[in-house]
Amino acid sequence: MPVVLRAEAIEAGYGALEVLWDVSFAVEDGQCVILFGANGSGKTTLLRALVGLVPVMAGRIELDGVRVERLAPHERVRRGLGYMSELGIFPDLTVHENLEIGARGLSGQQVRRRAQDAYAIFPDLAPRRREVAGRLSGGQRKMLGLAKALMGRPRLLVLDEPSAGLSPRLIKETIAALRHLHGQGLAMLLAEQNISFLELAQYAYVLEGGRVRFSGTVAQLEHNDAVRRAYFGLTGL
Amino acid sequence: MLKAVLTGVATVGLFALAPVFYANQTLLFSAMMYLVLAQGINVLYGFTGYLPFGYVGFFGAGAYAGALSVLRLGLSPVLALVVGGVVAVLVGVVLVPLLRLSGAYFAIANLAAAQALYYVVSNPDLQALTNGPYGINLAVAYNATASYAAMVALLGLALATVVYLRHSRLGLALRAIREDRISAELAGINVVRERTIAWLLSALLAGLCGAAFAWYISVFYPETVFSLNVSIFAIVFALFGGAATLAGPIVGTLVLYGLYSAIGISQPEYFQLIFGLVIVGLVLFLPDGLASLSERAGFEVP
Repeated sequence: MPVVLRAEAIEAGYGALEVLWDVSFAVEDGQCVILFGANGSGKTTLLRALVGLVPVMAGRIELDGVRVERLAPHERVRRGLGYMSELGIFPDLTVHENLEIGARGLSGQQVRRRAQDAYAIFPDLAPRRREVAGRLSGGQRKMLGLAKALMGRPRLLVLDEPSAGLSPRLIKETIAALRHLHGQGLAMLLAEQNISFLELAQYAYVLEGGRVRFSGTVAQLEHNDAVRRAYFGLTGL
Repeated sequence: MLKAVLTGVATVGLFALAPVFYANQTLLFSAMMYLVLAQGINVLYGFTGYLPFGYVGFFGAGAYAGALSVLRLGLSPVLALVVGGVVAVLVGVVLVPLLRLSGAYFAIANLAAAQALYYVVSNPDLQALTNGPYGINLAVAYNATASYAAMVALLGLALATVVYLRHSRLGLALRAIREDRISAELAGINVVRERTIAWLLSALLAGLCGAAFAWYISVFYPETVFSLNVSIFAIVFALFGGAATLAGPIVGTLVLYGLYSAIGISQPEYFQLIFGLVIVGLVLFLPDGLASLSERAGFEVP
């Protein structure tokens, strides 16, 4: 499988504070990769470095074989990186305007068509298209954030803690939506602490103290006693 | 969209026909001037969140560039308007780095830039070029009717700009940037470019307006066209009505400039008091302007 995203020996941080050391990983076309780690392990910093919000001090990031670590965030997005953060929507804009924002550079007809596709995947949003996004429930906001990120038809969808702030029922719905998208061939990179999301992934990386402590298939992760004890507090999965 | 276009056409039509029914053309001209400036502020503040206290710098640069291009280069007043707009845009280009700042830092730096421009223009050592502190006499080009018509056209341009921003993808991108710059960037929006476009559009409107003012008034001094009051009036008018709407700055300007005309000249002390109270009341009770009252009542403001 061709590699969509490759990060090699990434070092990144905030000013003088270095947070990531020698982090390398790859996401293949159509693959779902999950980044696990406790709070403060560097997951969010790594995702922010990938999309350009945190400067990369050393190493390289390639998107479809093209180096992007010096590009501005909007240029990386236009090259196929879709990003959904914990918030990620514009509360004062309507649902439909949020979707329009996600489809920059397309014709009006293309935007309408993609919005229709988004409403088909997330039917809760369709009757609220003229509503201000700030009035949506937490789950609907999450769906809107996901729909917005998909409007640009990204090559790789990067999700930062999609389970954050959601009830167990909404987590199940989010996983179902992501499974549907992944089933259509969308490559995904998830940063998560919730092990329910493991079912989506084929490959996993575990971060600790800004370094990769484990990498392997999800099956290998599930059978690695040290990882299970250290990160999931479990003795069997 | 239709409501906004009709509002714009009605406003322009009102000022185009008003001299037929109302003799004080200077008052009408000044009201239009502040309408254009309030919409220029609206383009910047309403759509990007930058509050330019030094906005008068563009106005003054346009006034001087327009007037000097008539006096020194012999250009026609209409071409001089274009020069005024272009020079204001060039000043805007020089000041683009200010957009890296935000909030009070931007406001102070912008104000300082306008003051610097004022001191350059009024410098006695530059008398050969700008006539220094002795001001400009443009009587050679004086034409009240033509300059009034030019301001009507400018008003149309300013309103059309806001209608465009309210209903275009550029305007949508700017509103997204105003809400959350980082999320906007992560949605693929080129934040620097879009903000710069709004900044320069705003500068263009003020520059054209300054050149039209110079043509109409024909005699002015540096302190007239670089007066901080010009910025403050335009900002308060825009915010009083409601930024990011077309109708808000129109209503704000008509109400407050009407008040100024009624008592501001004859009894300035009362006007200053009322104006101060209006600003305090606006900040405390109606931060989104009169337009927000209408929106709360369920009426969409164009």
